[in-house]
Amino acid sequence: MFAQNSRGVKIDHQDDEYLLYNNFGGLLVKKQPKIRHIISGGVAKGYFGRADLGDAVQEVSKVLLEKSEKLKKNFNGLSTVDAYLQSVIYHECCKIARVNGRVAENEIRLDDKMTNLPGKERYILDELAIKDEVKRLEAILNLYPRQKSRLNLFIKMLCRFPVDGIDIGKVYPEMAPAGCVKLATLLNDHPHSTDIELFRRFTAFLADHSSETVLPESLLHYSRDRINEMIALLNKNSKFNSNYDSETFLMLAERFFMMKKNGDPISFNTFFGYIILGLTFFKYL
Amino acid sequence: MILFSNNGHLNEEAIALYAEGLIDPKVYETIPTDVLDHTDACFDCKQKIMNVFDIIRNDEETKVQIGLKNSLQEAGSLKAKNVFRISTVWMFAAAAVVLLIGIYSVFRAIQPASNDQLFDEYFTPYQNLLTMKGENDSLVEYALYYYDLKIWDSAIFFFKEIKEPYKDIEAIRFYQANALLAMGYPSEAEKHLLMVIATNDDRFKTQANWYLALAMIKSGKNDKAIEILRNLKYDKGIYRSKAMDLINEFE
Repeated sequence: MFAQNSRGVKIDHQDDEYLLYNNFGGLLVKKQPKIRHIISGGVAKGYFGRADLGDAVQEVSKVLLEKSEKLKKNFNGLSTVDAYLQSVIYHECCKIARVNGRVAENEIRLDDKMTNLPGKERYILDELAIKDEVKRLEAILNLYPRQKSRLNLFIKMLCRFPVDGIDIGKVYPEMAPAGCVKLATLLNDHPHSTDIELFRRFTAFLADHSSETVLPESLLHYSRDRINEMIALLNKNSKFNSNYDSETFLMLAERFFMMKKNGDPISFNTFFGYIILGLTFFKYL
Repeated sequence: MILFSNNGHLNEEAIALYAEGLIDPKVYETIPTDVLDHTDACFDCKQKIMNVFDIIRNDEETKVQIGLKNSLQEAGSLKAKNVFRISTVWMFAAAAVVLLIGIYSVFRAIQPASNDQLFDEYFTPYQNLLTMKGENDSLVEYALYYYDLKIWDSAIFFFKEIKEPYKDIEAIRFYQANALLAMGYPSEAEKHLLMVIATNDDRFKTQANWYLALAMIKSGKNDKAIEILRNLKYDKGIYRSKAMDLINEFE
């Protein structure tokens, strides 16, 4: 059986969108496992006690039911109903946790548990964890749609990953391609310089070859601020309770750039770095 | 279209849309400019988006729905733009594709299926029946929580942490073997299944034999697999017909 939604698209009677507008109770019943899963995540973080799980599910369902008209009204059909509801459920969970004044207390720490694993299993799990974190880093970079190219370039510089003319051209489109390549070579030729020395070279070249004059300290400060934001985002909700600092963040970023460039290689040069990164997951450092 | 709440931040739908965009680049392209501008500058909204992203990226149902919505929208926009005009050339091209698919299907049908194909066709992880029984052990709950979510690596990790003398270790071994099979580690799964079969506990014995046969198939040990399947043929339960089908595939 089919109906039409507000945008004239045919929808099934079991479809989430149909249920949202015509049978909100049915939608709530259908989404009970999801509500439970999201709240279970909150239990893992200590926002709810284990014994409160059932109550919290009830409470969230009740709030959703009360807000059903508002939820219907606010839904524009841009996202899927499923993701929309999960966003709302998460928001409500946070609200309840705030009202209850709960803070993380009984979080299961995967890192503590993983330290006991034998070598091969640890390696597999390290690899899976790092790949997962790389995906999250990619998502985080996409949260900076207007600064992404700039951040891409500066983070590459900070982790001494070779930059190319295209990276520079994306940030400074007015610069001639030959100039971009020359600047990339200049940056790549000094892998052992300190961060500020590298940014000084960069800004000096910019001053000579483009209209842009900027202090190296400002660029470095800007990059570090954004990196700190990204670290905060990475450290929150990580499946592996990772605890990045700027150094391990740059190792992860290097892995991300390598995967972008070559697929998913592990080069000998950076192998040692990955071990440290893996160990950081598990608080050895 | 309202995508901002009264306090000027993104509303739940905009957050959901952005989170979907982080999963699917095609959705990312549809995010309105003002939402992108706001997110670029607002750390609070970034955090909210990442929270939802972390929830939905592991949710297979949501991913399927995003893909479905994408394809519907693409079909709609193509129709609206009248890009796809059915001409004689297109008709011939479509016929040629159908013909090629037909030839390929016939070719595939007469080719014996590979072990991996057989495994993929017959393997379904055993349904979690443990946590429905009110199990309160936290490690077991966590393991089965990830098992239900099909996040096998995390499930396996927790299973490994459950040490003897746990009261229902046979069940844990059985589910761990399932998770290992799903992750593509048949030899490790085999060890656990053999331990389950060796016990006096009959609850999982037949099931364990079925999964052991699948593990053998995955490892390429077809003779051993057939031997186990022949025994299952005399079982009265649901594995009888499955075992017979699988034996027929080999014969």
